[in-house]
Amino acid sequence: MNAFIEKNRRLLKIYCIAARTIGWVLLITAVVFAVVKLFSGFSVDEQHRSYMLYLLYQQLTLSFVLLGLVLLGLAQFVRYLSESDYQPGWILRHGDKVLYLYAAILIISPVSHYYFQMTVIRNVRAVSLLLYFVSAVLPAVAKGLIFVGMAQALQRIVPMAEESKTLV
Amino acid sequence: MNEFIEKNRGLLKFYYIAARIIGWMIVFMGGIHLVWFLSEPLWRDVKWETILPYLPQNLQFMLGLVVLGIAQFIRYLSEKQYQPGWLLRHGDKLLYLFAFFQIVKAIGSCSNFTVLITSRTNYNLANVCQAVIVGLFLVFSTIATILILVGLAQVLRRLMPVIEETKTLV
Repeated sequence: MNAFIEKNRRLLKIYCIAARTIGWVLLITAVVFAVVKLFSGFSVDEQHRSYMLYLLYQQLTLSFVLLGLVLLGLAQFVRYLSESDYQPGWILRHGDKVLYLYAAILIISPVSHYYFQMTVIRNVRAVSLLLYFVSAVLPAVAKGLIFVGMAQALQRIVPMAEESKTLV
Repeated sequence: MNEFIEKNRGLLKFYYIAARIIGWMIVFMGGIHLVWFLSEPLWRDVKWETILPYLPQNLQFMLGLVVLGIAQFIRYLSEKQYQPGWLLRHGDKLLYLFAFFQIVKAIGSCSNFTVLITSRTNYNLANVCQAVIVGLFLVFSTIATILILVGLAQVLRRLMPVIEETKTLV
């Protein structure tokens, strides 16, 4: 593994810098979105257009925060794997929780969206339950499972990497 | 780590069975969808050139492949005897390919979005703000997704020998 890292050190460094930059940009943008949302006063009980805009802002904020955290965690992990002196940062140490949260939000989001469609804005033209399950719920569950798997793997891999680092 | 695996064996087994079922369901349905999409010019009055740019939007089966790959990875981590399957052995290439399709998909979405915006006649501050937000979302989330996929591919390449090494240690 060390030979591989030595050969790709520059690429890994570029990757870490890019991931950290984009990760922070996402987090900052999410904060800006949240502030804009707070001051613009959109609420669910307004008309359909406002609701859609509300949903858009909410999804942007959540997606950006979580994507940003995952990206920063991954950058820390790549750095942890490639640098022998580097100690895992806060995000990496709590990476599994971030991933579980992301998975939960991914799975809940299409269900809550369907609930809002049917009850709050009473969109009777909404697609059939089966079609919605196939087109929205199933991919969301799959993505959720990817993140749960990543969290499980992370919990096992960090001690392994630590062990591998200490081997002479 | 072995202690952790022993403690969570039931949960891990449940996880990879669920992941395999969902993964195969998506591969199967995504495959049907792809065949249906590609055969459209045969039974509808559309040309290949018209539908091909939309191809990356119709590759949902790849999501299923990633889920199956993760299931294999978890199984590989938790079972000593288990040898990595084809998907896991080529997981890095699969992730790079997935990242490439994300780029193509984003280009397609950007061009559709540009057409939508330029076709609008009523320009006001709210519309412009909305367009900027959606545009930003598209660009940043695509870059982030690509970086996550590339990072995972890199990590996978490095970790497979480490896991193998750990398994052979007494």
